[in-house]
Amino acid sequence: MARGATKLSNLDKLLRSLGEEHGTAVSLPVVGAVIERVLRSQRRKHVAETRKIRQELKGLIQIIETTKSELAELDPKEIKVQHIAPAADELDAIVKATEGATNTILDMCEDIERRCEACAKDSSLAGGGIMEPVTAIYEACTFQDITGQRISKVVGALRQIEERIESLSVSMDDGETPKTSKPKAVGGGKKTLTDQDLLNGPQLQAAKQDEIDALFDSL
Amino acid sequence: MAVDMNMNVLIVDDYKTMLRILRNLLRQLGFINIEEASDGSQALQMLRSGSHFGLVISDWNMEPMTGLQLLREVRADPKLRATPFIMVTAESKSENVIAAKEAGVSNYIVKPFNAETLKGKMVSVLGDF
Repeated sequence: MARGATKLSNLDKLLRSLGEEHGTAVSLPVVGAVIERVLRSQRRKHVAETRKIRQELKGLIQIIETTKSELAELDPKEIKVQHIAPAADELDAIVKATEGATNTILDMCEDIERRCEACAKDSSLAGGGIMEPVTAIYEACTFQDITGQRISKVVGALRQIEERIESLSVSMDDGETPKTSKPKAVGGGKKTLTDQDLLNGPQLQAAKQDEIDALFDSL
Repeated sequence: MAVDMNMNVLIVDDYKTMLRILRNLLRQLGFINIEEASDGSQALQMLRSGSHFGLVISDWNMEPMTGLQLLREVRADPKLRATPFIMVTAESKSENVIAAKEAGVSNYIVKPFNAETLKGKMVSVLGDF
């Protein structure tokens, strides 16, 4: 409104100065010059505004590109493939291992009970064959080590996901660049294994002892 | 030569439960002098303390010193390098077996294991008992 009023006032001033200079009879060339002057002024204004809008658009494109690359770096697919799916497999393996160990321990306890009952009926059997189920119980208890290592893997995966979510939330809150760890490159030729590369914990498709023996003996 | 059942056996694992299981299985096999360490550095300190150990049974994945690092230290030490060393680990990838063999491991057991496997590997390393 105020801008419109200023425009009218400028035009008014121009018409007034024309009136003072030429009276009421203004020639066509003068009118043409006035129109050209007005158009030139408008064109200058439009060019300046267009340049400003173009710069703002460039800024917006830059922000969109940056956000896109930040989101690509967060890579939800990578979180799913590299962290959530293996964590779920580890949890499945834990359930199976604890179930197997519990069943073995219960079976051996029942076996010991049976042997004790037999001993109570016939004292000559005292202590006979108890060692065997006891050993089996010791063996079954090795599940704790394996499941412990599997749980550590799941905790590690949860930490990775937590970091990603945190950096995403920081990025959304104040526009800071998220500090995400880049996904590990897959493939890409042979690399020298470090000691760290050799710390993988229990495998889901773990090699059997006889496979390990065959490899060990072949070396 | 018969195995000295009175020899010191050093078992190394960061899981107390595994140390307990190993101790009990070794006791069942007839070994009575069993010492425990919770990682490679503690084990190395014990090995260098002067007591002679006839066998080391070690886990791999431990902090701050892993079983592989312990093995390398043992093999690099002129006083310890002849000590039989069995790795008992959940690391079952072929690269692990290769790395352990290259470092001089005497035998390799993959977890979970049973008493029969433990005895078999001990016999292969120490001889019949």
